[in-house]
Amino acid sequence: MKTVAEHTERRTYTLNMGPQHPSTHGVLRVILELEGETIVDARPVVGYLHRGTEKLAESKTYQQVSPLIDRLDYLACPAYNFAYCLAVEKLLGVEVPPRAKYIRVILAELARIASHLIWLGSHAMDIGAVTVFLYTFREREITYELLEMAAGVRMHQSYFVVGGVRWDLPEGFIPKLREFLDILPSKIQEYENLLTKNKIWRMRTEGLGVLSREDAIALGATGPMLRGSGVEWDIRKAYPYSGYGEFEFDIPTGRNGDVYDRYLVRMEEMRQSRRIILQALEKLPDGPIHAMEGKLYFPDPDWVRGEHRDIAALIHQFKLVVEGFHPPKGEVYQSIEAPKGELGFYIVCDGSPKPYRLRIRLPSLMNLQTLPLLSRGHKVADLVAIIGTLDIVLGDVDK
Amino acid sequence: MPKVVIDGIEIEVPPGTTILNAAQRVGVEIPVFCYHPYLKPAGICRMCLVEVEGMPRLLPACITEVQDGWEIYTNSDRVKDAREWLLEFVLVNHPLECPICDEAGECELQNFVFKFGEPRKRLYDEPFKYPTRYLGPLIVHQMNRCVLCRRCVRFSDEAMGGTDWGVYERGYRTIVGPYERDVFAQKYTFNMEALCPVGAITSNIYRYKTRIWKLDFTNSVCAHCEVGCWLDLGERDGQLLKVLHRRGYPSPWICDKGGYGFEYVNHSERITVPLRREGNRLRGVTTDEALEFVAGRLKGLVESGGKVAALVSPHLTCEDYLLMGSFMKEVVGSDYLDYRLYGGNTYPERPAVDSLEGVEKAEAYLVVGEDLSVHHPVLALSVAKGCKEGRASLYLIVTGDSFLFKFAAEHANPLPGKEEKVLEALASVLGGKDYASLLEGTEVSEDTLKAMAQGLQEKKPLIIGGSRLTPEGRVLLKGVGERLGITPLFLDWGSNSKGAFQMGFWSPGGESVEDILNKCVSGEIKGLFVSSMDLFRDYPNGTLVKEALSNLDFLVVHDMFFTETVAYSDCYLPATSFAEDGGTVVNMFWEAKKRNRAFKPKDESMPLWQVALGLSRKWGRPLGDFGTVEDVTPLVRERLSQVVEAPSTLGGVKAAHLKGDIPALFEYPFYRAGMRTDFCNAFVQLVPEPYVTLNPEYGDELGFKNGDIVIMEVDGNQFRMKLFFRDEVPRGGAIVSRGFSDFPITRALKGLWYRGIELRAAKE
Ligand code: SF4
Ligand code: SF4
Ligand code: FES
Repeated sequence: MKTVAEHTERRTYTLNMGPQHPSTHGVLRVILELEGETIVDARPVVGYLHRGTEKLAESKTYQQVSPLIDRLDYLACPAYNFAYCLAVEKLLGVEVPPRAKYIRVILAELARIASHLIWLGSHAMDIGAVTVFLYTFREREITYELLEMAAGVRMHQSYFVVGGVRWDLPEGFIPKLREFLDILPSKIQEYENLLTKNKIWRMRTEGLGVLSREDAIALGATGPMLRGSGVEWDIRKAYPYSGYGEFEFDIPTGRNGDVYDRYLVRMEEMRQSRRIILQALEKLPDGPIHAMEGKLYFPDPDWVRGEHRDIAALIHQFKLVVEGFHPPKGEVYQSIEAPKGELGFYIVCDGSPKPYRLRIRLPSLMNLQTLPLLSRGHKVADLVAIIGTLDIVLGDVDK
Repeated sequence: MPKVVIDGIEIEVPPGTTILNAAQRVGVEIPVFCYHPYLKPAGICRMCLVEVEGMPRLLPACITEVQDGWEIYTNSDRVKDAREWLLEFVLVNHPLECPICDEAGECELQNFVFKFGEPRKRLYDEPFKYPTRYLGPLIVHQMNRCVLCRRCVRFSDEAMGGTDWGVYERGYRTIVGPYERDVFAQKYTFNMEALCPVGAITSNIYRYKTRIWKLDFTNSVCAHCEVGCWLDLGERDGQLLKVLHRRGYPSPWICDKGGYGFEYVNHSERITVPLRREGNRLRGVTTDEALEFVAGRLKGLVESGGKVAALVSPHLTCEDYLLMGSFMKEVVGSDYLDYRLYGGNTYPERPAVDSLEGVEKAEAYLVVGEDLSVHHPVLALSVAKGCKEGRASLYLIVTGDSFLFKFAAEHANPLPGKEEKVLEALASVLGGKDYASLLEGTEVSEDTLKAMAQGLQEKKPLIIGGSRLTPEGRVLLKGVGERLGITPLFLDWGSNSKGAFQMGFWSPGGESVEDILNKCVSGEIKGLFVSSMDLFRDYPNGTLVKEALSNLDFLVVHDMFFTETVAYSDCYLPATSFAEDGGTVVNMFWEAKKRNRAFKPKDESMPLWQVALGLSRKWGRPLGDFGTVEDVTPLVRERLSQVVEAPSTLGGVKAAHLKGDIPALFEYPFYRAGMRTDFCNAFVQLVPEPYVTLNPEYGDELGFKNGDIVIMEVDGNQFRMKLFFRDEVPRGGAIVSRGFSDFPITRALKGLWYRGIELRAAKE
């Protein structure tokens, strides 16, 4: 604590923002050092939503960890399961069948669109453009309906499992998805009409929160935060996983690295995601949706307890539930391009069915590091725009 | 030495090593069903097939000995294929029962199918529908789940020499199971359940209780007898639900007392709060109040010139004996304490062997004065092992041995009470003296004895002195040992008698339990502390116990249940079971072993050492500052390393009082021997009430039939019980069962487990 004298001398004062504040997008607390209305320093205080995911994972089998992972970025669950499953598959040395790969890509890109829609709605609302929120949530609802069709639940789907996906896409999913993709461009245009050339929007975002290319790299910013600063870096292109190498898409980048550029980048990313999904739907192969059926994920329920029940399947189901599979000893790191940036899982396996250590590289946490730099010298009122442009989710910050 | 390559790993092994053992050495896993390290290899199941370079067929790894230069593959496509098919064949008729199968989670079939099999069968057939057989309170046999590995059959045959569990029918219709039996309880049944790789033989006690992965296992030492087998105690929510014998120490096998005799720990009748007498009632009080009350009363008695004594079960830990002993001797100033409540005796002599392996190596055995399979069951298996393989000869001087007699070269089966006479005769034979007169009235022939003496002189025997031997008998046996050049292994009742002895928990003046009880009757002893034992059940003189207890001014009982002894008490203190506290115990080879706490004591229950500590505090002269049992252990260790000299008259039972027509031996049935077996429901179901057994010929002579109800009369007391014919009972004698807290059989006795009885048919 600073003494009153020090404050007077430096002519700054401390203002506490959060942890309960509508525009911090969760329980984030920022300690502001203000000189008048100007921000001298902004220090984020994290951990209010800490759930001990990494530690908890050590006492769960690899399958049981999945639902914990869903709860990191609860706005883009498929992407998170995606990265986790890929990491475990890398550890196991398992190749997922093509159909499962494509299904995963489709859902992960859908999740990106959903995540960006929420970001856009709340970001605009923070700045005062309340209407946008209503529009984006209209479309976001459709993405959730789609996810629900596939997984059976709206949030925390855990639809991806080690070795593939839980079950095949249901009937009616693809037509509905196509319907959505058909209307999406016009909707994105609708948002752009509201914002891109909106004078107030541009005044509030242009030149604000500038992140230079160098700073972005130095601070470990990833995803749109990095691309907004003009770095053409996307893990889907740099280290293609799950068949991303087979799709054509562009990496949008910004020029100035300000809030406005990042806005543009994310808008374009939604269009690119749509492009990827369309290609994936085009090429979607038939075939199994699971590698090593029964060994990594439960066998078909029909074999276990249905009409065609069978002791071999029952045993596999039983062992998977009570014991889980045993990956070989080893360590792996696997990252993906999540909607918010690079998401990575580092797993140390001692040969037992539970991770010996699970370490998660979270994009929101890393991107939040840029907050002090971005907000310095700006007005308090701009802080909400800067937090908005970071696109953080506190579950993704606090683990 | 042959050199082989297993999956690319080169290893040199001694000649005669099997592929399986070689693979185990380099850490390569080969699945097996019928192979078991402690059973003879059988090569029945073919689960272990492996490929050897240049061999046209796959070879069973468990029985094929390696040859120099072999290249072995345990993971080639051919092997994988063979495994898949084998598992599929095994599963063709397997029921879909994992979710309700108690084995699930530790089932080897599950493990192998998950690891080496396919998640889908290709062969379909109607599953077998054999009935589930509830073979008495211990095991359940479900033939449907059997994989026909025959481990159970081989154990029964190889270890127990049993002929009543076998394989029947052929091929596809093969079944295993008991031969003409509805109840299967053969002292070592637990091992068959443990050996069974699947859920075909499961425990009835554990049936549907919980799941194996929900249990927390703690390694500890069995509290039923001196062999001191290591047990893994499986606890869940403060309940002891399952016992395993994972580490195979000191023997790969354990007996049913260790494996199933733990139900008393969770018994619903357990009293876990202190009680204090108020008029005719016992009222629940707090521990503090109870200790205060007991210490106060004892102090009062001592101050008014009365004496106080302590009688403690021989099943407790050294820590208990040490602190209770200190409390009695140093704080209370009492000279009367004892642990030999079964009427047994400790003879402080270090035996010539120090492990069961040592026992197994002997070339001959002389066993005197105990049915080993009842009181030291695992020792009996070790003795049987060598005899069964023909390596060793066994000589028995035991009345009514029920297990080892099958293997004995010579079995002297004296009339009850005459074992020591025969022993004396044996000593005379060995000493070249006349012995014929000694054998009179023992029902043992001179030939038997001569053959025995000859055999013992040819091969150096291991001498085992059973717990029935009196102090004189022990001295006699030691003499025989000296002549044959070996120190006998003396056995005791109770799981820690030797520890109690070493801790000095006996009267320095040499008084026996009988003396102490007599002093209670005469009024010299006014206060008595009894721990963990129902005197009415286990002390062989119920009348004396009753007189003594009714004469006391103050009786404290530290126990787990409301036994008859508790009914006489002025204060009851709740005791812990062996699973709830750790401590040191001394096994029959005078080796110290550590018991561990599997879960915390229930409610107010306290181990004896804590009671002693609490009492000493209330008395105003605390024994020390001990928090956990581990704090006491160093003192115990120190005491264990000291040599303890017994006084020349270390108490004990005196001569036999035989009166009446038929000399009878009162002996525990197997399932009643050991600690608190009256509260193990399964055991109670197996042996619900005492019975009398006679030799069939003798029974015929007397005009009885197997299964008759008879009246046994002793001193005018009449006991009504069932009569059975058993071959092992000597002609002209009877064996009566004891060990029943709800049946006053000890009233028939006078300080010794022998008594003359009269038998007559009960009127309908
Ligand atoms: S024996 Fe094994 S495979 Fe068979 S039902 Fe029981 S747990 Fe399942
Ligand atoms: S009952 Fe068990 S041990 Fe016996 S043959 Fe069958 S599977 Fe093997
Ligand atoms: S384990 Fe080798 S044949 Fe059974």
